[in-house]
Amino acid sequence: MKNVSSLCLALVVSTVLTSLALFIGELKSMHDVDWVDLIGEATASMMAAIWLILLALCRPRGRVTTMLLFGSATYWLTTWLDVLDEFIAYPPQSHLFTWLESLPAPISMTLLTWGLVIWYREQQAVNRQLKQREHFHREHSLIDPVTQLYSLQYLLIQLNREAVLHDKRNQPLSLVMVDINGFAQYNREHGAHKGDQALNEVASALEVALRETDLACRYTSDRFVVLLPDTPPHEVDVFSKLIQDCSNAALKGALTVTTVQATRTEGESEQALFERLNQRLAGAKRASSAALEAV
Amino acid sequence: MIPGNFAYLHDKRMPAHFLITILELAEHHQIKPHQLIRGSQLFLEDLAYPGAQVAPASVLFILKKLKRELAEQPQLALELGQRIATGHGHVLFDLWRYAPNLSGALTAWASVQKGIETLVQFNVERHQGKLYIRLTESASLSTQQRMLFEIVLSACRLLLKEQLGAQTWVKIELPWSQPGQDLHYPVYLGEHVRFDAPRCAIILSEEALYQPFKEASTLRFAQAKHTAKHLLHPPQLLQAHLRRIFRKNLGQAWSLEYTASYLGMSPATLKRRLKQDGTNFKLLVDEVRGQEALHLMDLNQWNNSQLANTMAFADVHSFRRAFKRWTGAVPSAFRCGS
Repeated sequence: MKNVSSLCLALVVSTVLTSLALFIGELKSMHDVDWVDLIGEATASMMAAIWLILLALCRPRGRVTTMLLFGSATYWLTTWLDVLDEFIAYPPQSHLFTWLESLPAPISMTLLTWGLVIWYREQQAVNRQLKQREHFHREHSLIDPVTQLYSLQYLLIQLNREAVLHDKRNQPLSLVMVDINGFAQYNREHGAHKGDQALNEVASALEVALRETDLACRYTSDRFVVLLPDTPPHEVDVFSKLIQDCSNAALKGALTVTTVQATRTEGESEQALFERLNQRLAGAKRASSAALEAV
Repeated sequence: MIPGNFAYLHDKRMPAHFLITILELAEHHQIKPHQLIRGSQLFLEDLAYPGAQVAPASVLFILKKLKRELAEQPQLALELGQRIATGHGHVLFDLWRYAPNLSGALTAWASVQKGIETLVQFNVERHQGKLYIRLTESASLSTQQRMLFEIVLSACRLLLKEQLGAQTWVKIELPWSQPGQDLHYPVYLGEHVRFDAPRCAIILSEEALYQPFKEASTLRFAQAKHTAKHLLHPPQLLQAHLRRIFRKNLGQAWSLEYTASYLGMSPATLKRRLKQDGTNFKLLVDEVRGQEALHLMDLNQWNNSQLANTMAFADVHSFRRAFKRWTGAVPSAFRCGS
């Protein structure tokens, strides 16, 4: 827990002050205690203690926190002394406790106020930054609105990063491209809404089929790309088949998908890699439509 | 001569169908339709009734706004084209869908082109066993030209692939450079894309013209043709008309006075009308001639004097000067480049 030491210090000081008060003064008899006064002062002291603890809990360590904690701890001590003097009568010649009760109060209040002003300024800076970040998220949305998968931009950022890492460690980095067959026609016959549903089904199938390290994104209209880090060619063939089967099962026969895969060669640009995948996909589609026509 | 009755960019001359698809796509990207059309002098209620028409100026304004809003989505126009082609409800696409073959579809489109404004003109040509479907603008599109061409190309390519099958050879030529990171053109326009081309065109082999369409239906095609006839709105865009006649009569030197008398209006009126649409006579003639010169040079491998002769230039020198104005380079440099 943060700020434990400050709380402990406040506790130690309060114990020292209490024992000092008992040493100097004398306990009052029960008749002399003003109960209404006691309740008021005890409540104030309790609340001050709660403030102190809450502050210690929510603030990170730092200059502002130290100031706030010091201010509120001092304030709490003065209220505690107020409570004590309901029970203890001090000898008239000793002025120490009357001073201790009244003098630190304005100092603690000033410290607290000052700390709060700085806190306010700090919060404004944080807000500004948050606003900027929110702006960034809105402007450069990295999530595809239809399928809630990542968008191509995000995949490219990740691909760039992974490519550098894989080149360095000499590991194979693979990609699978998924395309829905006859999606345009399906869209026309059943409407764009049904088309979006199909896209969502493929998206969730991809999420099920993938490992935790893999990343699926929506490339464009009916095309998806999956990034498979540290996956050699023979494994990516298996994954490609798995993805195809999962997607076909999710689409329940209404549509089918074609998948192609490629493993990045060292130093290959993303443009070249995507070109290779697109060409393979076009080839696969041509082959399947030729096969259909032959039947 | 034809009496002067023409439409302008601010007249409601374009089927609302296209705009509705644009708004639907925008909504997909979390942009509210009413936000998008704000400032376009258009209201959502205008789009609600069947056969609604909108002003080309509004469509261009909205496209510009959409492009700005979704600047980080380079595939926007291509996606839009696919949506327009797969969407229901426009006779232009019914004509294409039920035509017996590509030749039938193109003939049907040509007959309605003057009556249904799409901001793009289709120029069809056969040359050495190839079929060229060339796109030219029917009005000054300025910065939206590329976006509009992308929409039309992606829509047409999808229709072609659907009707002729995935194996059909389709090449697409784009008059702009390949973007640094080109991940979308191959998906939407296929493997055969030529950048920095002297024209914007779809190229097929001639045999594709008579290959039967998959969804061909004589009765539905006849029905679509009838519907199209009812939808024709006679006054065509003045700019579109001028571009068409300039293109057809390259051998003629078109002057403002001559053109005005040909249209049956005074030169001052013609000037004013063109200014209203944000262009001027000289620019219009020059645009068309520039496009045609580049196209003819590439297609026929003509030399400067052949081109100068065909295009009514006084001599080769003035052709060279004009060519430099159009492209910023001399013709020979362009020939080497291509």
